[in-house]
Amino acid sequence: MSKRFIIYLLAGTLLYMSLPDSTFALNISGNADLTYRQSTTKTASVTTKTETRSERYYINLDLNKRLTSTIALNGSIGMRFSKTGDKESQDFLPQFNLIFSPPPYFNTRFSMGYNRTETGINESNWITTDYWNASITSSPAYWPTFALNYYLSRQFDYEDVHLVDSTTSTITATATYNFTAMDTKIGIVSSFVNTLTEGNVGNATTSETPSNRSNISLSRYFWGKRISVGSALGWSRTKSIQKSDKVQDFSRSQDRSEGLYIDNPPSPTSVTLSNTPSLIDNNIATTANLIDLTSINRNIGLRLSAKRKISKFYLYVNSTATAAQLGAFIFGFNIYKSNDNITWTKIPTAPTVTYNSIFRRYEIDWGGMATTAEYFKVVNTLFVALATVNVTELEAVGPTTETVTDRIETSSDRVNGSLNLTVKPRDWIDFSYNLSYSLSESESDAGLADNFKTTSLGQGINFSVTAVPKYLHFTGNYSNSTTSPSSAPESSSNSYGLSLNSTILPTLRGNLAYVRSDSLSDGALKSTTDSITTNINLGLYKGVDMRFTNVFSISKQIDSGTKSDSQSYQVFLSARPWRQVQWSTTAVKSFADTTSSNGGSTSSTSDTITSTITYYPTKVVYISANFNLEPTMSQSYFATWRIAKTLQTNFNYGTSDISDNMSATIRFTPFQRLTITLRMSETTSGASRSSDFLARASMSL
Amino acid sequence: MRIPRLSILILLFFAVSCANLPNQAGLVKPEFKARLLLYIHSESAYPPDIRFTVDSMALQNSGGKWTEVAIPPVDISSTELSGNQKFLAELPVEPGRYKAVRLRIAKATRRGFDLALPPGGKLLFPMDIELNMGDSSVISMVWDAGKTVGKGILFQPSIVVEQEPLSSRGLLIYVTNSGSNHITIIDRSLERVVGAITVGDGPKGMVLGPTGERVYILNTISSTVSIIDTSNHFVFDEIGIISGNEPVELAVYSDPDNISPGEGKIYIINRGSNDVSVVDISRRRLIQTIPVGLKPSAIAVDVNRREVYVTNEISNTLSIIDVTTNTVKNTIVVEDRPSGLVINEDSIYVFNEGSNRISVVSQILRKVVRTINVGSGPKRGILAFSERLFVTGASGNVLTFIDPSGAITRTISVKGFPLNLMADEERYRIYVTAYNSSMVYLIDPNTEKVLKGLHVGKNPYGIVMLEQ
Repeated sequence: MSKRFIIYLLAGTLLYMSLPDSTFALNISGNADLTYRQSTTKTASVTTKTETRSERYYINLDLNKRLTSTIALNGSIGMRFSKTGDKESQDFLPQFNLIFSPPPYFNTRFSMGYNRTETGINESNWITTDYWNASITSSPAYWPTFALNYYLSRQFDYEDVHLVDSTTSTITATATYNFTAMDTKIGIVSSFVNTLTEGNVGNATTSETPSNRSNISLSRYFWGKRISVGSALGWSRTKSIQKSDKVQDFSRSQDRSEGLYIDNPPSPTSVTLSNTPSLIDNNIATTANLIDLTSINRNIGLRLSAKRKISKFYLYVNSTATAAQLGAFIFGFNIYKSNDNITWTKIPTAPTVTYNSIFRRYEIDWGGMATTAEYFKVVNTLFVALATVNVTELEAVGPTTETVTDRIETSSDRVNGSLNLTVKPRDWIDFSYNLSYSLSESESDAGLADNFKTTSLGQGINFSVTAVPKYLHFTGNYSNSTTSPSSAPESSSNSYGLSLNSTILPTLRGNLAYVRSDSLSDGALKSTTDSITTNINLGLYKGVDMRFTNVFSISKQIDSGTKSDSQSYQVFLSARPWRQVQWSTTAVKSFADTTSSNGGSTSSTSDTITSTITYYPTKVVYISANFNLEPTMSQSYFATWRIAKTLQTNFNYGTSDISDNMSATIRFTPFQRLTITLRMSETTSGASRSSDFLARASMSL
Repeated sequence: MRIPRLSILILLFFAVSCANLPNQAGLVKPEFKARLLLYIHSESAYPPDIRFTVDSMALQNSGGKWTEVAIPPVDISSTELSGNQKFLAELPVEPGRYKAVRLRIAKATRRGFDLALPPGGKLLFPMDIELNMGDSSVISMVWDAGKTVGKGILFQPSIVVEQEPLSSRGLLIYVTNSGSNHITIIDRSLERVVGAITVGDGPKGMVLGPTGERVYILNTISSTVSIIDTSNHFVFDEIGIISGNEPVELAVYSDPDNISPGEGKIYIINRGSNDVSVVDISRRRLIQTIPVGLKPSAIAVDVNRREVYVTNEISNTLSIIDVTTNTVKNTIVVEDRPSGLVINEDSIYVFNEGSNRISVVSQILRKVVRTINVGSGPKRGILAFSERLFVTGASGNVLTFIDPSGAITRTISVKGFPLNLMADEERYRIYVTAYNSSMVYLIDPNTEKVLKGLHVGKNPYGIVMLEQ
């Protein structure tokens, strides 16, 4: 079906293209990529060498056709072949899109696309992935914009019993309306999205996630745009419906075609039982053919409508004995099976027998040895003389495989809102406030543990003051967020920040920032962090800059009584003595002390020193060197040289206490569509050494 | 509905439509000829104070024919030009070879005193430039201001007109100009515009491919992805993506174990259809569309975690897409109007333009673990220079500098809707595109000041630095 489809598609397209009147915009593209890679690893006396060759070829034909002034069709047909080592795969890739664009005054666009991939995974089986999408968008002037999108993708193979078979479809509907009323910009958005996924390999599974969302936002300026107010309100409902089929065995009464009986045959294993319809007439009030259990070797059986697996007999009885007596009687039942009503085989396990007084039946269960046959019989090896026990009916019970569906539905509702206010009464001061609120409620069939409700509230204040224009500037902020879940204590956090920025001289600038943050649980303070950051920037000389940063921080964990102090000093120095040279060095020294509640303390220090030099002597040469002096010493060098426009080389060298590495790359582009790359790298680490060689040629149409 | 039947229906429709309707031209966009972008710069460190005004320009082709080009008058000052570059004009021209450019000078002065102009104010400068159909090319006029005045009064500027050879790949920066259909190439060692590449219509989102050999550019109007070879700076391939409305941004995922530059997947966010289109690079086609939240605004990929992150501006969420299955595996609620995001180690910084805060999402815990107050409608941002945060407040025309502790160290004014940023850590520069102007601003992260502006194309949007 699939291959035929592709052949028709190709043939139809080529036929149409050959018509004298057809006018297409055509484009043929393709590429070929050949790679050879050799890797060698030497560890002690063991050498491992691997070689990989890969080839990839791809050719594609693009078609563009404007059918009418409003309808256009475009598409492409591609074929790809790839081989890596011994693994081969090939793809056929047709793709078509139909686009309908009415004249501009309708502002409507419709498009539909089809995309298919046939991938050959072996000679007998292919995997098809196909994909449909359709969308319609309408945005008439002064009216809301509507968009409807539908996606359908399917993946399947051609085995009789599918190894791959799944379908996913998604529908998205959106309405958007933006307008201005009473100098207020208003935006309304509403959407519905539903994704349905069906898996049909093994047990069928279905997943569906319908969701609805609506949102309205308003914004307005006042006082010559010095005051700005914005607010938004949103609502959403998301559901998740998961269905999965599973196969389960149930005990069910099996269809009977004949009742069978014979009394005391010479041998229970070689005998033909006579048809006795009254044993299977569903009448448990009347004794079946006067069968009783007052003597041994009563052969009471039945024939099933087909061979079935049976694990239990229900032997219905009628007796003058009390239920307690019947429960105490022992008949020594044996079970036999046969496929011809002549030769019978005894089931070796002795069945368990219980008397069910409600249904007035003996339940003879050999479940552990459930077996398959067409004929079954029960034979009593003992009898009871105390009372007459008449048999009225015989029922056979066996496991029946049935498919059941598990369904779990989870729904989640959310309401959220926000408010923003920005005030700039003068050019040197501005202030903003924001507030956000969210309420989420979730319910699930899976259990009460998945039902919860969470309320979140957040607010923030920012201000900025330019005290002395160009010289002194203050900023401050406060933020708070509180989360109240139904299943856990309320948690909240606060953050306070204040910073001062000063430009003392054109070449000297500094800032000082203080930040305090704390976290609370159920109203109780849990932790605090205070930090002070100082930055000083110095323009030492033209092209020579220095930046000094100091961070001092104290953290306290209230519950554990742990206190941590840390300080770090960072000096950054950069110099650009000539345009082609840039040098920079960063040095960081950090101290940390932690004191626990029992008085124990730990201290640590760390140092980092790094330096980078870059040099561009000409436009075609670029050299850089990186040095790490602390905490570990390492160096790396990089150079690139574009020898000609078509030839570029790169060199890397790095060394550290742990390993050394080196690599070189040559990239040659004799003409724009052909690139040849050669790369060699080697890494040495202790006694092990690995090298890698890559050669690749890529050509494109 | 069964797929094969639908296929047959489409084919039938296709055949019937073609049979009964008149032929028309294919879906080829109107022919774009060629474009010259003319700049002037001076390398004189201490030039004399000379100013002149250019009010007209003409180009001479190899056949000797002159083509006059009307331009608005441009004032050029030697002191302002020292170490800087000035944009003169964008000239749509016929493809071909050009051998001279002629400027008409309206006025020239030295220290405020008029200089004598040549006859008709016309100055001729030879050049040798060949333009093919569709090319965009940057022409630099290099003015030696110290050699401008002859005989004490004559205005005879020494100007060399050249098409600058491009530096090594690692020194270059690409900028998409969504209002023009070209990419601007900036040399970060020279700090000036040195080249241009024509791409599709409305280029916006741009990312560097994993091997550094390709740059992927999303053309939002022509619904294509242009793939540029970064060694030779030409459009290597163009992939059509007829899916989704209002595509704006893209990300590229390539298997970290796969070394080939032509393999991988492009993820494109579509603001109008609220979904993500997945395009297979080697197969050059759309392979899937993934619905996400309302108004997806930004996208980033984490190759090692094999995840794609999308912020949804109206839903106030962050969608996490598994690249193996191409499905949304997590949705995390952030704050009002998340407009941008950046990945740093195990965290995702989400810039919430509506709530004036940054949400820091832990990639491990899958929840918001920290918020940072910004106070200026944060739209995009980057982490660079030892974990410092640089955040653009586009609507407020500001750039905010934030220390690793979360303290704002300064907020500066950057005109023209500052949008995307890029950090050049080797040369200590921050580059910011100003969408409502035609400028890219260079900012010193140490002094926290705007150093200069480079004139690029219209509505600059994305910016990436190439790798060696």
